[in-house]
Amino acid sequence: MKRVAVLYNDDGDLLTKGASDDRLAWDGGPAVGREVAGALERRGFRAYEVPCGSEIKSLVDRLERLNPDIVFNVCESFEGESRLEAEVASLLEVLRIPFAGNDPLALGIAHDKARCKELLKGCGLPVAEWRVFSAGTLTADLAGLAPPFIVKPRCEDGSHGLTARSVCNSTDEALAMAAETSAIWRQDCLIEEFLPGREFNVGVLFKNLVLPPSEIAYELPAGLPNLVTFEAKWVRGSVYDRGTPVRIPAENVAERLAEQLRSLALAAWRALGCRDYARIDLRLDAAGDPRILEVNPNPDISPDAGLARAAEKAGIPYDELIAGIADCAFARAGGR
Amino acid sequence: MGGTAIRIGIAYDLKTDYQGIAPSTGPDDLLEEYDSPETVEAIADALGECGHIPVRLGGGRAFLERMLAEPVDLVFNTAEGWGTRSREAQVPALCELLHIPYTHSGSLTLAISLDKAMTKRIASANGIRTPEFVCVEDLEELDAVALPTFPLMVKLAGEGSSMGIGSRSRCANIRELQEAAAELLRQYSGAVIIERFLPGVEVTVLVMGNGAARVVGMMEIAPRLGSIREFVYSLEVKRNYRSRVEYHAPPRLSGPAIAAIAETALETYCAMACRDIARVDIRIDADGTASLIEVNPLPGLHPEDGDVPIMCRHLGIPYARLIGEIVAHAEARL
Repeated sequence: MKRVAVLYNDDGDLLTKGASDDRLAWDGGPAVGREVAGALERRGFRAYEVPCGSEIKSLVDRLERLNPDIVFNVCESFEGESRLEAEVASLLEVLRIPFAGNDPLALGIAHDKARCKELLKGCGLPVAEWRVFSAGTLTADLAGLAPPFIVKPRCEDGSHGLTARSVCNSTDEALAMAAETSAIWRQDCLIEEFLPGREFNVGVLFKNLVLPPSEIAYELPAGLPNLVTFEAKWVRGSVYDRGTPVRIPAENVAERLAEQLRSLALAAWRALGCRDYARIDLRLDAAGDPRILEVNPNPDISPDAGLARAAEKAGIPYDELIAGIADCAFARAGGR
Repeated sequence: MGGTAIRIGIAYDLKTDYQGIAPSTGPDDLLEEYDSPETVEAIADALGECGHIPVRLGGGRAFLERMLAEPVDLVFNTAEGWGTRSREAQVPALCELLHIPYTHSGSLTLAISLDKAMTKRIASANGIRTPEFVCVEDLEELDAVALPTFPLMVKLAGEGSSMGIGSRSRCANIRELQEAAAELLRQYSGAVIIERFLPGVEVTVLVMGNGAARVVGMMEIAPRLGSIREFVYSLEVKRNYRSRVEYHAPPRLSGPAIAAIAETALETYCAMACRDIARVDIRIDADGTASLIEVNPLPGLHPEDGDVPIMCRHLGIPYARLIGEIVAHAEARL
């Protein structure tokens, strides 16, 4: 029987920054690990849930003892630090254990939103214009950028640091918000032109199977900006949770737009050299043309998260999705 | 240097570590990126000369086990890693996970720089000039893409140390290009990049420091025979550098040209978030402008043959001072 270690982040008490509510997002690790392991077991694999917490030696020893054929890597952080996500993947490379999920380079680039935007722009792909607000000098030159702006931490995932106040209508407001955000998150911020149009998520699977787009169908009270805030993602029943239903698949998407979304998602996937699974977020600009917001090479892959639901609607049930991703890693392992 | 003596672990991957793993039928430069024992010994001696205690850690698994057993104060990183496009990120990643400071750039910068196409794209998004190029994974793709104007250079997208670069890397026409690209795709894994060949002077620039990074020196690489207009600093030329090339440090260029090269090198160093040291390769275009060819944040440090040590000899910088300065920059992170 093929043996798979499902590696997930377990860092409940390790949170060192952000606001107190930000803890909510980190409780997701063990739950995802359990779901993935369950799906693998149902598909005839022998699955082991392996937490990745704060200690390398015990993790290495555990993997050594298990000696799995592959690791299914859904680990998003180490010691509560999402910046170490790619480093955990590098550890698997050093241990020479083939793994499902994206490689350190794709994870590293996507995690640094400025780097990712530079790469996409350098590939000639459309992104929202942006500047980096330096946490060192507490400045950014916003010349050439038009309001409204959105301010986000440069290197955080899962909508951390995003609230209704992240959308700013003037340069002064954006700079003040960036100073506040960079102090809380102890890092640079991105100040980006806030795109006014519809928002889509496009999943890409396996080698390069593009799923139909999903849409965040904003229904927020007047005065609140259309944005997937931290609250929208993690606080059940909150105003933002209720106001950001996801349509899977998206409705009323003209054929031309569908094709644009599809080809941009695939181009972004290729630009980072993604594999196995990723989710690409896009938004329409004032002219109605899609631009790439973010690439998520390690998106939430629980059954109730967007990617798995989009796959299901496209005819790939959860267990098949998970087994298919594992098979990608087995194919690479065989080719070594 | 002064300061107190610290234990500095040297991370390295020797050619001999991989001779059993690499296919024996592959090209003879498959292990070109890896270190020779002389490099490790020279670094160890230099660290000792600077008053530090060198510890030989190796790379990969051995490095991890030694670090878990007895951590050092600082890692001096020259390890290439093995097997993947992110290989140079492996030792920095382990250091990050173990909270051990290390010399040279962070994991992401090292992994990106190993991919020439990705580096060029990020550089151009930062407004840095670099020759037009396309990246192809197979010959069908080559037939389909719109090529820049000939002559063109064809190189492996994901390899350092001049691997795969030979006299036939410069292609004057489509037939030569198809042959050279086919050869690279057959012998190596991964994509090739095809970029416009720049006919001007080739210069390699040593940049060091953090915050206030500076150009330490630059060196022109000129052919002993033949014209610069067709010169390729190939692996064969590099291996026989004493008979094939002339080095000029400083380059035989005008003040403004030198200033333009320095500016491009510094912009690249900052844009790529390099730390401590990097070697930036630049070539002059027909119109006299400086263009980025590639950046090497983990430059070869062989005491005799490495481009940076060669440059330092021309500049009168002893090897131990070069190593000591890398460590001094990294020590700020202790």
